[in-house]
Amino acid sequence: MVMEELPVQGQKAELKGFSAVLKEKRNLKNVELMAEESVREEKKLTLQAPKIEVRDLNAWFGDNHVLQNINLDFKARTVTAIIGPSGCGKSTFLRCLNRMNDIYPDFRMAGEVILDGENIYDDGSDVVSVRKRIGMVFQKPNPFPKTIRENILFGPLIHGIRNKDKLDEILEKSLKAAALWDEVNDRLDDYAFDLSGGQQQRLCIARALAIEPEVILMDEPCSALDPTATAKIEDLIYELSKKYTVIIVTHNMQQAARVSRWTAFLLTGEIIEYNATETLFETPERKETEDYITGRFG
Amino acid sequence: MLKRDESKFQKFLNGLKDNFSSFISKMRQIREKEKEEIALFILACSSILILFLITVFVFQAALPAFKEIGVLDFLFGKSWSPGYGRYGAAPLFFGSFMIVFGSVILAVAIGVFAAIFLVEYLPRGTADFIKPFIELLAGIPSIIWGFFGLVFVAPRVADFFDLPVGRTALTAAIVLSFMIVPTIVSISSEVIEAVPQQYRRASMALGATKWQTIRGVVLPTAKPGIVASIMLAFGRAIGETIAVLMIAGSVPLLPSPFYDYLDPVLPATATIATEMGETPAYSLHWHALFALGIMLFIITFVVNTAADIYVRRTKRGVIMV
Ligand SMILES: Nc1ncnc2c1ncn2[C@@H]1O[C@H](COP(=O)(O)OP(=O)(O)O)[C@@H](O)[C@H]1O
Ligand SMILES: [Mg+2]
Repeated sequence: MVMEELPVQGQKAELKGFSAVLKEKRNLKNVELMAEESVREEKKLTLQAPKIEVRDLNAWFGDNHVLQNINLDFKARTVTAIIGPSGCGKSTFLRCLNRMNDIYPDFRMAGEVILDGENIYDDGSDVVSVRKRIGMVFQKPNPFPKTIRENILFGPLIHGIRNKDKLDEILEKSLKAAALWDEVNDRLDDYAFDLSGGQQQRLCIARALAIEPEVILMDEPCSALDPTATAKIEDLIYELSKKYTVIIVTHNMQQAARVSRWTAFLLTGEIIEYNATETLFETPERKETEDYITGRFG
Repeated sequence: MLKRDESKFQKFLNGLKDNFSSFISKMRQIREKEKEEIALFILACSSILILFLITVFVFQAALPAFKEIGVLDFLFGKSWSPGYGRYGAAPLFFGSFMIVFGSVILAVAIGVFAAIFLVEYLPRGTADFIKPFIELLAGIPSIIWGFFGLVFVAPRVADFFDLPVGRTALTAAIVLSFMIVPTIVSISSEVIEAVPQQYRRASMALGATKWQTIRGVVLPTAKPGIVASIMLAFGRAIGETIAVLMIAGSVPLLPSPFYDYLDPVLPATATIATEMGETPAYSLHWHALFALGIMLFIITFVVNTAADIYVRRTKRGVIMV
C-alpha cells in the first residue's frame, strides 16, 4: 500500500497516480457522507474557523534560520498534512505549535501561534496548559518503560486526576479511541514494550488522547512501521479528525494524499504552497511543488 | 577470447586464494578466541577458588567460637569484654548497623539529588567539569577521612549537641556518608544520563513539568541502576574500618536508648582491627574475632544477593549501569 519511492515515470502519469488515490478516497467518503450527512453539515460550519493561526513565524537554531515567514491557518476538526523533503523544517515547525522547541537552549523564535484566538507564546501563556491542549505523537513509538495502564494514565495523573473510576474511564476511552482496546483490554498491566511497533504507536496516540487535547500533532507517525500497521494508523487518523484537529508531518506523499484534507508543502523553511489536498496534488500551482510530488526533486 | 578466458581463470584462482586465506584467518581467529576463552575460564575458576578457600578458612577459624560461646549468646549477648571472657557481639553489630544505616541514608539523600542536579539542571560542560572531582573524592584514603572527621567533624558535633566528646555514631555516619557519596553520585548520574531523551520528550509533550518528568519517568527508569549504586556504597560502608575506628568513639556498649546517635559505639570492623593484634592465635578471643568477620561476610553476601535479585527482576527496557 505504501510506496516509499515513486517509480520514475513521466510526470503526467505520476499526477494520474495521485488522482487514483484521491478518487478512491472520494468514493469512500461519499458512502460515509450519506451515512453521516448531518455530522458533515455541522462539521462544514466549524471547518471555516481556523483552530490555529500561524503569523509571521521565524525560527532559528543558533544561526541556522530554520523557518522563514510562515503564515498558515489550520482548520478545525480536519487533517492537515505538512510535506517536504528531509531537513526542510517540518519537525521544527510542528514543535513550534506546542512549544516543544522550548526545551532546546539554542532555539529562538519570532511571530505568533494563535490557538483559538490566543497566542501561545504570550507572556501570560502557560506551557503546561498549551501542551495539554495540543498533544503530540512522535516519529518513533516512544512508550514509557511502564505498563500499558501506566502509560495511558501518566498524563491524567500529572494533571491531578485521582478519582479511580474517572481514571478507569479515561483508560478505556483513550484505548478505544486509538483502536487498541480490543487488542489489549485483557492485558492492561503488561509491559508496553511487549506490544508490536504499530500497537506501541497506537498506545502513544492513546496516551496523547488521555489528556483530552483539542489538537494532535503527529511527526511522521508511520515511518517506523510496516504497511499493515501504517494502514491501521491512517484509518485511525481519519477517525480522529472527526473530533480533533490533526496536523501530520510526513515525507510520504501518498500518505498525505490519503489521509489529509489540506496539505502544506514546506521547502527549506518556507511554505511554498498550501491548498486543499486534491488541488495541491492534481493541479499544483507552483513549479517546485510539481517537481517535488512527481519525484523529480533533488 | 582466449585472453578473456585466461583472465577469468585468473580471477577464479584469485578468488580461491582469497577464500582460502580468509578461511585460514578465520580458523586462526577461532583458535585465538578459544585460547582467550580458556584463559578467561581458568582465571575465573581460580578467583572463585580463592574466594572459596578464604571462606572455608574464616569459617574454620570462627567455628570454635560459635561452639564455645554458643551462636545465640554470641549474636545477642549485650556485653563485649574479652578480658572477662564475655563475647556478646550485639553492641558491635548494632554499632556497625547504626553507622552504616545512617551514612547510607545521608549519602542517598545527598547523592541522588546531586546526580539529578548534575545531569538534569547543570549545563553539560559544567557537569563534565565537576564529575572528575567527585570521582577524585572517592579515591581519598580512609585514614585521611578519619583525620578529617577527628579534626573537623567531631568538634562540631560536640559543639552543636553540647557533648563532652564529639566521637559518636553520628559523627562516624556523617564522615562515612562523605566517603560513599561519590560512588552514588557517579554511578547514579551515569544511569540517569542513559535514560533515553525520548522518554523525557514524551513526558514534556504531555504537559509534565521538568520535575514531574524526573520523578515520574527518569527516576523510575533509572531505579535499578541507582539501587545498584547504593548497594556498592553499602558494601564500602560496612567494610570501612580505619575511619570509623578513629571517630566512632570505641565504646562496646549498646547506646541507651538504643537509637541514640549521640552515643559512642564500637563497630565490628573496628573491633577486629584493634583487638586482633593483641590476641594470642587460636585463643577463644582470636576465634571470636573471626566469628565477627564471618558475620560481616554473611551480612554483605545477603544484602548483595537481595540487591542482585531485585535488579534482575526489574523488567526489561530499564536502564542499568
Ligand atoms: N534540536 C536541534 N538543534 C539544532 N538544529 C536543529 C535541531 N532540530 C533541527 N535542527 C535543524 O533544523 C533544520 C530542520 O530540521 P527538521 O525540522 O528536523 O527537519 P525535517 O523534520 O523536515 O526533516 C535542519 O537543518 C536541522 O539541522
Ligand atoms: Mg523530521
